[in-house]
Order: sequence, then C-alpha cells, then structure tokens
Amino acid sequence: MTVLILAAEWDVSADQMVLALRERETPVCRVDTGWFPTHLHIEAQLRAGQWKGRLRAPGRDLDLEGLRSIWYRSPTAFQFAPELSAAERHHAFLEAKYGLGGVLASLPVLWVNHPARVAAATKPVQLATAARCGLTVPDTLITNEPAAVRRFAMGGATVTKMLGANHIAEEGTRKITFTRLFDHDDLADLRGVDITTHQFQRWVPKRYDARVIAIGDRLFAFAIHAGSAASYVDFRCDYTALSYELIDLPVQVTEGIKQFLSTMGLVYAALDFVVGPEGEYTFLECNAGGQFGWLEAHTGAALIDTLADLLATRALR
Amino acid sequence: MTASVDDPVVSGSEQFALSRSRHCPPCPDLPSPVGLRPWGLRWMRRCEDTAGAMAHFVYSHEQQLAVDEQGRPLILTGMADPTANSVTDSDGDEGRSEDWTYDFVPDNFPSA
Repeated sequence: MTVLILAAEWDVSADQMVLALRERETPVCRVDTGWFPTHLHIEAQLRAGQWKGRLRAPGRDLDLEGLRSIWYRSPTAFQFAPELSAAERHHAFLEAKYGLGGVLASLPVLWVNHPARVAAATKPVQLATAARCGLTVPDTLITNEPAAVRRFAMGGATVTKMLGANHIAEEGTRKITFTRLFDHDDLADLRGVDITTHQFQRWVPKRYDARVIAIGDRLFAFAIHAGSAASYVDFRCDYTALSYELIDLPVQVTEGIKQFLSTMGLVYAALDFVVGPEGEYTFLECNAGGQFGWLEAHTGAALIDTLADLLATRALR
Repeated sequence: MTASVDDPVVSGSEQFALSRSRHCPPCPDLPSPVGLRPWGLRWMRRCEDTAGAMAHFVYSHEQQLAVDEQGRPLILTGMADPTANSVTDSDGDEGRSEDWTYDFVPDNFPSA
C-alpha cells in the first residue's frame, strides 16, 4: 500500500518524509498538482461506489486502489497553457479541481488532512469550537463597523490580526503583515475598517508562546521564547530571536486539544497558544497545514518519524 | 477521512486548496487609496528577500527529492536547511504559501 505525498517540488519536510518512508520500506509516490495537465494525468472510473484508476506522473504509475494514505501538504496550482483565455483558464482550473481533486478527496484512505476539513477550519469556527472544547480563548471581535472597534479597544489592550493569510501579492512583490498591538493612532483613523471584516482580540499577557504539533493521537508541545520586542508580539516577526524547548501540557489542555481535533476532523495540526504568567494556556489558532520541520530541527522532537508512522501504518478509515 | 463538504462558507476554491507556484508571475496591482483599501492591509510591508532560503535545485522524479545538478539530494548534502534559518517570511502559521488556506487562490490562477 502506497503513501501519496501531495507537495511542491521544493519542500524540505516532504524530502524528509520521502526518506523516512523509504526507511520503513513503505512505497511512496510524491506528486505536485502543479504538474497537471502536462506531466500529471488521471484516469478514473466509478466502480461499485468507488473511483478506481490510475494517476500517472513522470516515473510513476499509481493505482488509486493501492493507496493507504495521502499527505496533503500544500501542493501547487495547476499550470495551464498561457495561451488560454482567462475564461478558459478559469474553466479548466475548476474542472481540474473538481475532477482530479474531487476523485482524490473521495478515496477512502487516511488523509493528513482531508482538504475539506482544512477548508472548514476557518478562524471563527476554530475559536468557537475551541471554547466549546474547554480551551480558553481570547475575547475576540470580528466586525466591519468602526464604532464597534472603538468600543472593543476601550476594554483593554488589543491586537489586530488577519482572519486569513497574512500576505498579499501586489506591486510586483509579496507583502506581509503580522499581529500588531493596537494604538491610539489606530483608533484615530479607522478608514477602511468598513471595507471588509477585521479581527480584533484582547491582548493576552504572555510569558511565552507555545506551538503544539498534533500528529494522530500524539501531541508535541514546544515553548517558543521571544528574544526581541517584535517577536514577543508575534514570533513570526523575527525567527532569529527565538529559542525553543519541549514542554509538557497540562492535562486539561491536552484533553481540550484532542476534543478540538476530533470535532474538526483533523489528524494533523499546529496549534498556537499563549502561556500566561501563571502558566495558563490561551488558544490562539490552529493551522491544519502549519510548519513543523523547524521545530524538529531545533529540538530533536521526532515529528517526521511520528508522521511517517501514521502515514505508513495507521489502519484505513 | 472522507468528510463530506457541507459547510456553506467553504468555497469551491478552498475545497482542494492549492498554493502559489514558484513560477507564478508577479502581480502588478497597486494599493488603493486610504479609505478604500481594507484597514488591515495598512501595515503590509514587502517580504524580505527569501531567495536564499530556497536553494538552487532540480527536482528528481526518480528520487522524488530536490537534488543539485549532480543529482545529489539536497536534504543529504546539507543544502536544504530545515531549521528556522530557512523559514521564510511567508512561513510560520499558514504553511509555505500564502495561498494554503482561505480564499486567496483564485481559480483562474495565471500560468507562467
């Protein structure tokens, strides 16, 4: 039974996973959806309620029935001929997404994670689910009303952060923004709040950040200590200032995370917490495709091996 | 798992989210004036040059790994750095790409 890795060509963690699966003598097929349609082909027929057929890529001829599991790790967008019109490209893209993506998504194999579960894990859903699972979450406002922002900000220190991706592409480059503390100048000029929804959260007193990597039933918790003012607010601002250590989770947090993952249908997740002065954990967000390789590199935690074991040996669902 | 898609806020694009190709051409769009531009974008800044984080590589279909021009896997030669030194500005909580989740991958993604 084969493990299918859906990943970009440049992906260090995917490279590590290929080697880990080879060590286990587990057949592995690595595919990037960006090869479609030129170098990636699908032939699938519905038989007795299941799609059966083959996925063909350079050097690979994969029987869909021979799949054990799929690691869905940020594969890249299909690449269609540039000569297509915008309408034709849009058509081709959606047909491929529903065709190739749809066939794969229907297969009764272990997904890490299933695309539909990743897609459903929006931050408002995460926060509400986490609270229902007994995890502490920050007071949060989502609004496009400036007056609501002012009222919320009057209640205490506030941060603003994106609900979705924290980058955009414009002016010929890529731009990024991080979680930032709200200040008086922000309150004085809220033009543009009304254009779309924005997220505001009460600042949570912090001793350090914690990232929990969940792989199947196992949880690995890492303290992330900030060494600069910028990384104290958002550790992504300055990776060079960070230090890491493996930590143990309180029982209640462990139970809350496991209930959260079960409710969300996730078998892998990177969950971010703030750990307060008294050691209290506050859930910030869950990233169903969050990175983990850098944490293994800095702490020696066996994340790749644990994930490889999950992909190679877990019973099919 | 074989979860059914029954969430009304999940767009077609998201249901099989794909990330930005490294071959994707740059977007020339300019920021809108203050007031029209979403407030949350005010503090967007250019990503630092992350070219150094991505080693020059060739993808080997035979080995299923990134390799150098001599066919040596970069993960074994130390050229593929898994530490935080290789985490780019766009890594962190959303995966390697800005397009991993939510509605940021248009389904008419331009080809290279």
